[in-house]
Amino acid sequence: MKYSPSLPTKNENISDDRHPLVQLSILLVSLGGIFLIVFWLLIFFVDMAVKSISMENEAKIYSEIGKLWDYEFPVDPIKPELKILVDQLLACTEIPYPITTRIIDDDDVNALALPAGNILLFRGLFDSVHSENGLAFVIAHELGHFINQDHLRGMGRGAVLMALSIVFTGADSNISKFLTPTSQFAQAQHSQKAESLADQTALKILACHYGHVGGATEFFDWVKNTPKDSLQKLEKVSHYFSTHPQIEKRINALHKFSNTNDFSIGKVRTLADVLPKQAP
Amino acid sequence: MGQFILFLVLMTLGYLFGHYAEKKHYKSINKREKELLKLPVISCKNPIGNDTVAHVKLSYGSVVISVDYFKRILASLYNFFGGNIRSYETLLDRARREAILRLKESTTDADQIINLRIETSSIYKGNGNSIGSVEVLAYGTAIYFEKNEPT
Repeated sequence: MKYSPSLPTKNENISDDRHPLVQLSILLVSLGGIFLIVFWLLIFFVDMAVKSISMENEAKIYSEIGKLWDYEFPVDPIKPELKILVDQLLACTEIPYPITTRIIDDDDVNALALPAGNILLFRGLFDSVHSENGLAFVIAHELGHFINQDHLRGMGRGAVLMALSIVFTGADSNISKFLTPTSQFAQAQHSQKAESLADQTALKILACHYGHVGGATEFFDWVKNTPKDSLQKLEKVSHYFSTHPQIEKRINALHKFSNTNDFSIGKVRTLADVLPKQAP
Repeated sequence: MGQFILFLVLMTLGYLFGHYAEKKHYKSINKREKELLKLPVISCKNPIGNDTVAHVKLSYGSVVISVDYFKRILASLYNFFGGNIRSYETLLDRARREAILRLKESTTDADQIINLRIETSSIYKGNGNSIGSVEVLAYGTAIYFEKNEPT
């Protein structure tokens, strides 16, 4: 036996494959694509399931969560004028459970609908709307989220996302971060759709209550006409920019929806002083 | 989103540093393999030739190489789709060759190194049981024939 020293001309132990960056791109696009397809399919079933849950049952589902808001956002006694307005708007809907309105003592220009029939109105909001109709639109928009059962849909989407992330990447895998933009894209799309739908519902409520939709775009007009620098100073108006469709688009969509449904534009009512006095 | 940007930065850094380190390592491996080519390393239990063995010695070389962030992510994507994980293949190829080179370098005065064995183990389990670093140990018996006893 003789030893013949030589070096291999080719390394057989390494697959002659594509460049790692090309491999990464192909894998990412494939994974993202499959994720989106499965996600949309499951979301379709979630939406079907939500349609079969009545608003009464939804209220039962969220009844325990509702108690959390009492602890998190204690209810200040709101002025009767505001309560009457909310109740009148509520009468134009089929929401079977009572709505609790909470004023949050904060400069944010924001309003939120929380599960279990809770509407949060931030004090800063009252600097942007000057008519009762303008405020009514914002409240009606939040009522729109309850009518469209957006909280249940959101919860279903969250559960689907979590389940898919675990199935696709493992519970604590690094590649779940790959899916972050994909899921954010899917979520943002849903949020924008939900906001547009809530806008349309709000118009219907306004038309029901006032007989016209005057003042509906007041809040959006304020956002549109406020210099960007001032908006940035308000910091948390971001809620209206991140998930909500662009303001211009939204105003146009409102006009279009009004025209399609032959909603008229009437005279707006002056906004009564609905804010409780600030603590000294 | 911030987490995703951090992730992209780590991926880019992992790729750039990992690519540079791998290129540099392969250059060093190729150069040293040429230099040590004349020292036979075989897996047979008996030495080549009929010379009388005067002395034997345990020879070993080990190396620990860490998986860079980019490779780890690429490999975890392959966990889903299957297929050859080239990024790990180059890593283990480098580790095996480096371990054999270190084994040779530890006994450059030997006539032959026989009974070569290679063992590999992961010495650190990364996040979610992904491999963090690998150790490759190469060991064998260094043979010194009568005419060439170690001093």
